[in-house]
Amino acid sequence: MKRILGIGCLAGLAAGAAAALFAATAGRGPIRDAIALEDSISHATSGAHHEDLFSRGVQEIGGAVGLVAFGLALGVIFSVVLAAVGPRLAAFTPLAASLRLGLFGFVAVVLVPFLKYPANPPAVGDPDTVNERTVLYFAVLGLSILLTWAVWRFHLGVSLAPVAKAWATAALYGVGLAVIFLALPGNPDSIDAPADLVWRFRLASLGGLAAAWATLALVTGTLFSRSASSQASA
Amino acid sequence: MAESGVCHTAPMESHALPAAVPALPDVDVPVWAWALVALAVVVSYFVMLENGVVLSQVAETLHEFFHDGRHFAGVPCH
Repeated sequence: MKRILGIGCLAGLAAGAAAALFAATAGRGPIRDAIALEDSISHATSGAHHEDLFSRGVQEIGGAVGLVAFGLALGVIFSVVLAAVGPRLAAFTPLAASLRLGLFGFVAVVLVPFLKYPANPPAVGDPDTVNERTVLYFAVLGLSILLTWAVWRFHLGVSLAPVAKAWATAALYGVGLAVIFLALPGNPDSIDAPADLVWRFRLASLGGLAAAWATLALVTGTLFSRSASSQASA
Repeated sequence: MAESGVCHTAPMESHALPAAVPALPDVDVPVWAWALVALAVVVSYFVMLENGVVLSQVAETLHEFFHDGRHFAGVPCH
């Protein structure tokens, strides 16, 4: 189990580094533009320059540190979940199993929350609604993970012909997703920043998270494969 | 392959695999590993989502330091 956690830590650090690299390249421009816009708006409305706690450079480093720390945490979770569902995925090689878990994890943890509450750059977001938005974000994240788990249990447990099972599984997931999307209210904030800027940021964010999850699944799968084959040959 | 020393209590489905195909390690995940997962979730929360609900004073500093990463990860921000 310790070796599994070691794999998770390593893969998580690599995933965090991938996200940080993406943020430093694709994400840097939109974030700088958005902060410049935010500053010009606050100058125009209040006239007062608000004191920044950290400089831009420190926040960029802090952002990278945060992404790597987040990646590490994600890596630990991913490797433990993979080990826990391992017996259910015995038909797959470790790499294939890891890539599958990575794909489902990305959809459940990143893509579905993103489609309901897309990432927003600085300059978008009303400080007064941040708690409400945090609760809504947790709600969509939790419901999405719950739905994925429930549909997976259904897929494992139901006895149907393969084609009927595929349709039933897809239908259940689709209906569940529709219920989640309709039940949760929209983002309470109005978005006044230019759509071009907002979407440049959103695509960079989604791309970075996709790169992180792909790295996570690939590195975890590769290391599990190596450890499995070294045990088989020992 | 239960290297953790924890005995298997739940019956495992045995899928016969050709010996050449390496499979995922067949381990029961011990409780302490799940505790680590819980810790990882808590760490993620503090890095990514803490807006002052739990830590009111330190939160602002934490929030601003990780600011760019938070936005980039798509979590709600001020």
